[in-house]
Amino acid sequence: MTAANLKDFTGPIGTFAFVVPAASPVKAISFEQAYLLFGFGAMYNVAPWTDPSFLWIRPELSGTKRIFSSYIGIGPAKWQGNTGHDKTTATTGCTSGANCADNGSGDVFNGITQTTTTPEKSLGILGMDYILTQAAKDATVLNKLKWIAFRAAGQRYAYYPDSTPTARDKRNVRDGHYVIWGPAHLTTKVDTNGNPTNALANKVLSFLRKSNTEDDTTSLQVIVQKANLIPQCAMKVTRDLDGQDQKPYTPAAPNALACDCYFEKLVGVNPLPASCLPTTTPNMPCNNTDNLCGAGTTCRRGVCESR
Amino acid sequence: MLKKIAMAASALALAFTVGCGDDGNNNNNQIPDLSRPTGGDMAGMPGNPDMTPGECAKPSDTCVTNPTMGKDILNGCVGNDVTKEDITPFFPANGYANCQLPAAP
Repeated sequence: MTAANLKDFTGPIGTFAFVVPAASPVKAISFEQAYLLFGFGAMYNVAPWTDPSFLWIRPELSGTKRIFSSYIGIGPAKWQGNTGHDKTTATTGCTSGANCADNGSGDVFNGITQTTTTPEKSLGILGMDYILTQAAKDATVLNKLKWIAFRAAGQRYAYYPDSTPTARDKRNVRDGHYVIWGPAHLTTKVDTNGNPTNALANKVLSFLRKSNTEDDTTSLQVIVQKANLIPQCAMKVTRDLDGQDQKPYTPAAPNALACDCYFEKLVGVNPLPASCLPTTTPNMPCNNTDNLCGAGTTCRRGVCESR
Repeated sequence: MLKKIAMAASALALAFTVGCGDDGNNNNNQIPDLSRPTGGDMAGMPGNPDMTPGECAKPSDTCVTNPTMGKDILNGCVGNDVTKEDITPFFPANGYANCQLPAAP
């Protein structure tokens, strides 16, 4: 942030994914494939994505695209594929022209899910928060589109954001096996001490960033269940800046208390890992006084946390 | 509360974008130099015509226990309940001559 009176606060974590039609047989894409495909289009014949007119992407200033750019090595202005759609047909891709409107997430979704006889050729980029929010409104969304695994540069295997293609635990994001993630950037005017000058903005910041305090379950529920984001307290890795290497992250008391088990509870992991549950009454939430959590764990927000 | 969040939109910009200092170019230090095989007898160094994509050095099949840094974290061990996808061939058949990707556009 260059303006002296603005400050960039990092918030909850967003996850981003390559998406394909549900009917596509494709399960994964590598850094090298994405680099060649989005950097050079059809030039290197990256099967099955051999036709750039089936690539559904976002315009240059899209934050989603810039996150992806950080991990595939192609600058956001250089991508091949449909950055827009024809306003008259909605599902005809384009890159320029009077009738070409910039793609939003919904347009990428429409492009990917339109009827085609060659679903394997289609590939797009979306935020997982968008997909899951849409799926919460209309479960059939997940019958039309799926996200695929990504293998980062220097990585042996490709991983999904979650532990399996159908899980919702974001385990591979949280432990660093899936790299296409970034924190929300919460930007507001600040005073000379770096504190927000707008009271309401400060309140929103506190809501989103105080999610690590033990007594605050409301903000965690909103972040996880409504916004489909990951609170920082559930992350085991961090980065200094988007695009940089990951490093281990351990929330530290008193202002940041880990919420690994609580996050998994909120996303519906069932059964929870045994370590998250009281040893003698696993079907009941622990409380702060019953001391029923196993060795090395602490009761927090009704579950036994090991960090 | 969600209503309050919406009300604050004019004062607080919420966005997913690259962090400060990223000018959007390709000089990104997340992307390692995979162009050269590691170890060995140099037979596969760029320029050696006998190197085919299938022979380029790839990360070890052995996972890393207790990883503490970038690439080790990517290849850290996972439980048997985690789905891993093995992309074959490991490197693209085209566009990876001499184990190098072409310069970014």
